[in-house]
Amino acid sequence: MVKTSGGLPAAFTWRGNTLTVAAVLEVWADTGEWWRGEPEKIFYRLTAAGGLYELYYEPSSGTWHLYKIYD
Amino acid sequence: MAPGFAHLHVHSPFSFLDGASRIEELVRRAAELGQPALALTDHNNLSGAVRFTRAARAAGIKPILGVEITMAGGYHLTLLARNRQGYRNLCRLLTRAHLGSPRGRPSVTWEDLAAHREGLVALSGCRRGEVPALILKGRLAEAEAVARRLRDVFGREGFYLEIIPNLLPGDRALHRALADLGRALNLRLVATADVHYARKEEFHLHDLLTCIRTQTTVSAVHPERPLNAENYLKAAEELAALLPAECREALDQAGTLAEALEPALPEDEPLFPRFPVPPGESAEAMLRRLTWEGARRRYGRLSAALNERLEKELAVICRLGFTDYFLVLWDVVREARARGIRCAGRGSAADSVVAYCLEITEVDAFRRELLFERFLSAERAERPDIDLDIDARRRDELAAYLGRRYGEDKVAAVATYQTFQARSAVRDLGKALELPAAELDALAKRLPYFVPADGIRAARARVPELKNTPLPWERYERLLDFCAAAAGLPRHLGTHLGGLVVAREPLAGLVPLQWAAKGTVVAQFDKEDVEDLGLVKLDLLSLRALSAVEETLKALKASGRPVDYDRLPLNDRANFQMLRRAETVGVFQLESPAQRALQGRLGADDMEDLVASLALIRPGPIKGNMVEPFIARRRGEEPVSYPHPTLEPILKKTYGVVLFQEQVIAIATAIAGFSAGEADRLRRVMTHARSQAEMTAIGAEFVARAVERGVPLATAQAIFDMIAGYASYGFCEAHAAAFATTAYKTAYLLRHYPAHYLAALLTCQPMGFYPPWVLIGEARRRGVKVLPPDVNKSGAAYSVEEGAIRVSLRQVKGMEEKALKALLTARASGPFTSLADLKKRVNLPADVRENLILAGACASLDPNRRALLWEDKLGRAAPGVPDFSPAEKILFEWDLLGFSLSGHPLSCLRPTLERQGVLTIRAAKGLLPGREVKVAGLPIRPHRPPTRSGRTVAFFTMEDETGLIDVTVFEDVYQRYGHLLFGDAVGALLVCGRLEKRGNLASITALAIEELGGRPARIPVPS
Repeated sequence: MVKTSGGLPAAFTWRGNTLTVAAVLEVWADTGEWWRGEPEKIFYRLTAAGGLYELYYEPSSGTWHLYKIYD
Repeated sequence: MAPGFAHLHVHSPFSFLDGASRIEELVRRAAELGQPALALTDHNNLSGAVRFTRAARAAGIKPILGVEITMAGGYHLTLLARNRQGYRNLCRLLTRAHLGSPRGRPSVTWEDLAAHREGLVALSGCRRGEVPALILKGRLAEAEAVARRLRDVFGREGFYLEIIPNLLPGDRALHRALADLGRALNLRLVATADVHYARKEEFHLHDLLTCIRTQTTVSAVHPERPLNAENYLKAAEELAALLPAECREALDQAGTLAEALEPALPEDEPLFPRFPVPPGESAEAMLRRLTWEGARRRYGRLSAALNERLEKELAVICRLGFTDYFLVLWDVVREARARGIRCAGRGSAADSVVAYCLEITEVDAFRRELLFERFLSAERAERPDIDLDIDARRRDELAAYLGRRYGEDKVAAVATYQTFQARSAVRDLGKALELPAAELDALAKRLPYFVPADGIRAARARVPELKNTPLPWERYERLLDFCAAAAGLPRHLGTHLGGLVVAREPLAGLVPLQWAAKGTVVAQFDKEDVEDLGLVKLDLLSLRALSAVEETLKALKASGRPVDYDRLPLNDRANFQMLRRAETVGVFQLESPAQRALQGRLGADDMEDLVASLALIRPGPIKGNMVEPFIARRRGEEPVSYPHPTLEPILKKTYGVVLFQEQVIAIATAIAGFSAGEADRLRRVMTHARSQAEMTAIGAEFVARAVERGVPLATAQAIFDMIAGYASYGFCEAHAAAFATTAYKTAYLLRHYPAHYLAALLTCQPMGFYPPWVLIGEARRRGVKVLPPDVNKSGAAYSVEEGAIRVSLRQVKGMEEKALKALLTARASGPFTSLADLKKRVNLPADVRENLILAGACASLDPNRRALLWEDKLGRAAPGVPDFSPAEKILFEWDLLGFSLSGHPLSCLRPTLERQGVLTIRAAKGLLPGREVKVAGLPIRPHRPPTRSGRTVAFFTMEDETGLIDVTVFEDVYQRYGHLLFGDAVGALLVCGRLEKRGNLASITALAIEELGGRPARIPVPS
């Protein structure tokens, strides 16, 4: 579950906890392996609750995914 | 309020495999988005500049010209022209970048950049620009130093930091650093999108083009592959949403800068060189002098009518400012003659008596009453277009002469834009998509040349070699979509085979120059763009037929039988008899099956028949069903009539049929009183198949003016309908006459000196309609013996030995120049006496030696080819080894020479064929028409010309050991068997059909076609 503000993620839920986004550090788009039918993804590297995360959004399905957590 | 945003960094397909949208699409999208201007910034070239300027103007958008150059070190930099001076400096800069570097790797030095900065604006570029690249590497101080250096070169007003918000990782930091740099150095930011395609969905094609460019495939990683689909032509609002707040001004700045840049393409400047006239004489006086001198040489006494005609032509030439153009061409022809280079003017230039007097053309336009206005008219004021055909082997000598005469820096070849066609699109895009190479090869080879890259699906439904094959089409759906999207996109720059541009000033200031593949200099514009720019091009075209003529004359002279080609009798009975028998294989322009069929029925007995022949066998007259009425009238089987007596003198020579463009002009002048210019406009409307509305309008004018001149309304309308029926098949009489002369003369050489002429044709291959094996057959049909290649007797070229043709050593597969030269040099000291002697004296590659043995070229050393082969392998004689069988020899020769001198491949099958009731071609021809026959043979040049009905009719000629016969395949049979004719591996065929006879020619209408099974019939037909 992701809440957005101004087109950017503002908060997201992970393992039942809602984390508020402190800062969006980077945004990029990646078309991936389009020739295999992979859809375009918009990636967000962000900080929330003291951690560093990467989320991505798939415009074709309107779904959000947690991609990476940095430890 | 800031002016509207405009994109200032845009790549078109002229970035060659780095731009996926046509220029017109990019312009249309910018216009849709309400953007007032658009820049074009292709990689290191301005090839798109002319059509971009044209398209932008048509869309009401300001065109801004620029380039993304590659600096030394490989860094990119975006340059934009402020004005014409900027454009000229761009051209000079690009020329230096290309000509100062190896071909294909242009590189701009800082010194050159500084020297050509006037009129230019620089943007720091994409991530491959030096400033952003250093920032991304964290080398901020170095980035600042480079930015300072660029500011020093272009000034604060001429250098901008480029912000490209394209959603790439690191964008935020990069943009922040660029904004900081801007503040520190007092530089402005400008936003661009580094556009490579008009719409987001075109990204996939761009990615595939990138794969082709970088020689990778979709699943391979390469730094130049784009990460995302953001390089599209965005609306200002989309860019604004992606820009960080501190960079928003960059958007306004793009609009402000675009407003300050002017369209930069030079226009209306006199660019053609001045001819270096002798002191005290003007160009006009010199042209007049040369014309009158030529006229006296050509005609002797000058009649009043001739004087009047020449004065009229000279007045138009001088008034339009083409005096120097004619003198330049006169000079080229003079130089060619001085060097003994055969050349001949063609095209509408042969409508000019001045060109005839200057010996630029060989058609007597005065005697033929050709209309000068078809070539040049004061009203039309278009540039004249004179094409010179030149002996192909020596064409480059004349091109080099122009360089020396007018300055090397003022002459260059014109480019051609090589575009994606069906075959190249399938191969390149399919490979990028990782489809199996063998499948792509099979598909590409089956694609007919006339199918465009966006017409493959349509062709699949109607072309038998695509329809009747087991290709897994369902796997190609996506490939075909991409092929359609890439159709016609430029893929790379080529060099025009004949076109040269010659300018008054150094070309580098008008058009960028670069290296061509063969080491000469080529302009980055094609011939249309060169002319749109105001430059004049000269067409020096390579014509191998003239090379063959020259070879023939040289050989005849060497054999003590010199022939004065320029004074051949033009009424030679034996020559016309040969033409009437349709024995024209090898004759320039008269050898195709359609021409042979025409010659067999037309009954040609003078040059006029040949001029008409060349105009008749073209898509237009064939589709317009003009051929049959013409033949009937020519043979007196149909009355010749004219809708109005005024038309008789105009149409008499074509029996009342409108065949030539000049006749349309003459009719419009005589019937409707059109001026020459108006009449030529009518001709253009008709021959270019303009809109129906345009046709109706000009028709109404024609009829009204004819009626004013006393022509009855119904007659006027009938005459207009008659010439309107001619719409799509116009042919220039002057051009037909120019080619007819060469056609007649090559026929003469063939008729009277068949061995020498056919030997020359074989030496000058590839040329003409037929491959060597057909010409070898033709020689034999004419009773000329053909001798095999011989290491002791053959030369590099075909030769004539006591009336027989000796096959050249170059014909042997694998024989390269180095080996050939070594062999001929060694032989100069005496003939080879044995294989051991040959091996001792010449170090030939083993495969070449083997090929020489198997092709029969070592028979003078030992006639037993197998024994020689053993000797070659063992290093000692191999007595007692039996020779190859006749059939094996035929097969080896077929493979290694492209023909067989030991026998025809069909002769090996004859016993079997006879048992199956298959006739020889000679036997079939002797039967009565209407009989059903079965013949077998090798198909020659199957083709499917356009037809009036739109239905496909295929034609080919078949050859067996006894002769040739033409075969016609109508649509239903074609649909069933076409894949046997046009597939990727065409072999010998068995044809069942009905024998037809028309005039002197027998042919077969095919009812069924089969592939002949078993060797040697499965030998592929050499193309």
